[in-house]
Amino acid sequence: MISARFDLKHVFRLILNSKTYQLSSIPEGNNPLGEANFSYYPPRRLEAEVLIDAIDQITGTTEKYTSPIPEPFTFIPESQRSIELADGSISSSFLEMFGRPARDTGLESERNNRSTADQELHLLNSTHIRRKIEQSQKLRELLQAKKKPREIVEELYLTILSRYPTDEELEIVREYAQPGHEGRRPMMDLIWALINSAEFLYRH
Amino acid sequence: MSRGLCITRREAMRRGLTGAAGLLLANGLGLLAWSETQQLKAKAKSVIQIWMWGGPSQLDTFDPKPEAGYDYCGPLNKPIQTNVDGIKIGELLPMLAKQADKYSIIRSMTHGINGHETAAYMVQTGRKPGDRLVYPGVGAVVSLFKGYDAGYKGLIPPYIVLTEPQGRFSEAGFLGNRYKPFATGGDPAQTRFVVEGVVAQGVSDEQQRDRRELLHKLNTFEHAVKDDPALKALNQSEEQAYELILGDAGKLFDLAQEKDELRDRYGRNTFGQSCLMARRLVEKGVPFVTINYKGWDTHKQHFQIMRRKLPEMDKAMATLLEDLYDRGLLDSTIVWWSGEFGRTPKVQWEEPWNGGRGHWGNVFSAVLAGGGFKGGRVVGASDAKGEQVKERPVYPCDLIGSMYELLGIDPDGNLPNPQGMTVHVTPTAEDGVKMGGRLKEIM
Repeated sequence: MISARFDLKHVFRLILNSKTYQLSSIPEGNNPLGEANFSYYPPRRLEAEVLIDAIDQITGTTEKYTSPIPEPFTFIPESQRSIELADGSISSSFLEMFGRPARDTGLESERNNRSTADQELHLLNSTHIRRKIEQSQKLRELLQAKKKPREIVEELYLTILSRYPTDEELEIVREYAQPGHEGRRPMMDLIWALINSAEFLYRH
Repeated sequence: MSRGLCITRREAMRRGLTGAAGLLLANGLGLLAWSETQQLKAKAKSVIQIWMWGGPSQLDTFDPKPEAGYDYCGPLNKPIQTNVDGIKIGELLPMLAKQADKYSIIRSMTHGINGHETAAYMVQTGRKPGDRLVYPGVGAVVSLFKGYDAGYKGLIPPYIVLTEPQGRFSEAGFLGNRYKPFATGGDPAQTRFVVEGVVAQGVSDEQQRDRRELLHKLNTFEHAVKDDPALKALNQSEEQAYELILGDAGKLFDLAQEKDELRDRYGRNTFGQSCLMARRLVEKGVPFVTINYKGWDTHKQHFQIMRRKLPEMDKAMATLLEDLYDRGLLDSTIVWWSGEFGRTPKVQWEEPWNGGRGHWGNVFSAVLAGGGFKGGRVVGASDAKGEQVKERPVYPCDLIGSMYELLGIDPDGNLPNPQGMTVHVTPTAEDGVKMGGRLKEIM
């Protein structure tokens, strides 16, 4: 880094082009030592704050956080991301459900990234997430832009999963959007399915 | 080399260690002995907590003082006889009066705290706030000892709140997220009880199934990495979630399955239907259900609100007790009625209250029924005006400890603490908390 005169882009290029960073999460073979020796990138679930920030970014929505300190109430500006919350007591039920610690002990083990049934219930079926998807201005504009359906699906995949859909996936979506599922329903369900997919929820 | 009374250091160490080990063993055996005999005596399997949010007035409910005069009783000065000789309760509770043999009234609850949050914390944890630790409420402790860790296999979470949670002052404390309650949200009195996460408004069962199929098909990453333990856990959670959404477990929240006549008896309002929901949950084996009943903080318009709310509470609670009894569930279900404190006995007729009651933590009432508690009794007494404890003070930790005993939870046992400290389930004398002794009179 010193030789590059503290050029951050140089460091990024170095890390992103490395074999380690680019390791796939899909293990080759079943060697039991593979996991211990990092022969593949172990998938890790996104932390609570990162997850809600990602969902907010996709849907163009924000969260409302308040803190009782300083008195009487302080409203955290909505443009501030959840990862920037300064104190463990400023929280929301989403953050608590997904394992964000209250920072009572200062131990790293206090954060719990294991998935539980009530987290799944929330992602799959809660009004909180449903409202974000259905009332999202950003997504509505995306869907209404005069484009071919294939382009819309590609846009959605790029927005949510940062990649293009494979031909197989395009085929599945096309089948789903057959008559029987009218209007915005198939696209809303696609957004819902992508947000609930393991690829979105896990860092890989 | 030993010489008469002199022993070698090695010998002393060995004797000391075996002695200590012996003590430990004896201690261990002692604990085992407690839990085995107590487990046999433990009759209660579940608790229904009716939380009177805001603090209900003791004079107008279970501790009437007709001789105190208009300044204290207001218009409600004719308490009614119950079906137990010698016990009279407020005139607006006629249906509960006919069920008095099923519950016992504690008229000398006290903690002296007049702030909502502090008092709520005190009543639900038995301890004062401001300690190094945030203690768990009764529900979380029961969820710990009778929930998943103790072999509870139901799909419905073991600690349910109908319908909004109270938040930081009645929750899991240092026990962590696993023991937080599941708050249903929604309103059971509506045609469709929209339980958060289980029932999605506007999404039919068929749509749920359709999009679930889409999710499975599109989940390409998961298919590629299916052996990863974290993703297996995700899969399992998803299956459990769908069992609740589409399966029989979720149907438990569908109150249309109950007869209309029974629903009418409970009362077609949020509290009434919540009581019915609580009975259904307890029938299915859920260990702890809290019904957060709001609106008792009557600083103004106290008597108007009492006239409106007490009949509603009376009808629902009396039907709940009767229903539990008829189904043979009352012996295994504790019903605990309490608020965070009582209300000022002397009515505040002056401005700005114009006939209201303030907070009163010096003495207030609680009601316990079922689960091994004897009915038809009164524990303790308040003075002639209902202002101070006259005899047998009962502190929150006494009541909570009694419930734990009947549930088979050792009140002197330890709670798992992330910092490895020794924390007892209920406070002991060393914690410096005032105690009046467990409710042996009704156990």
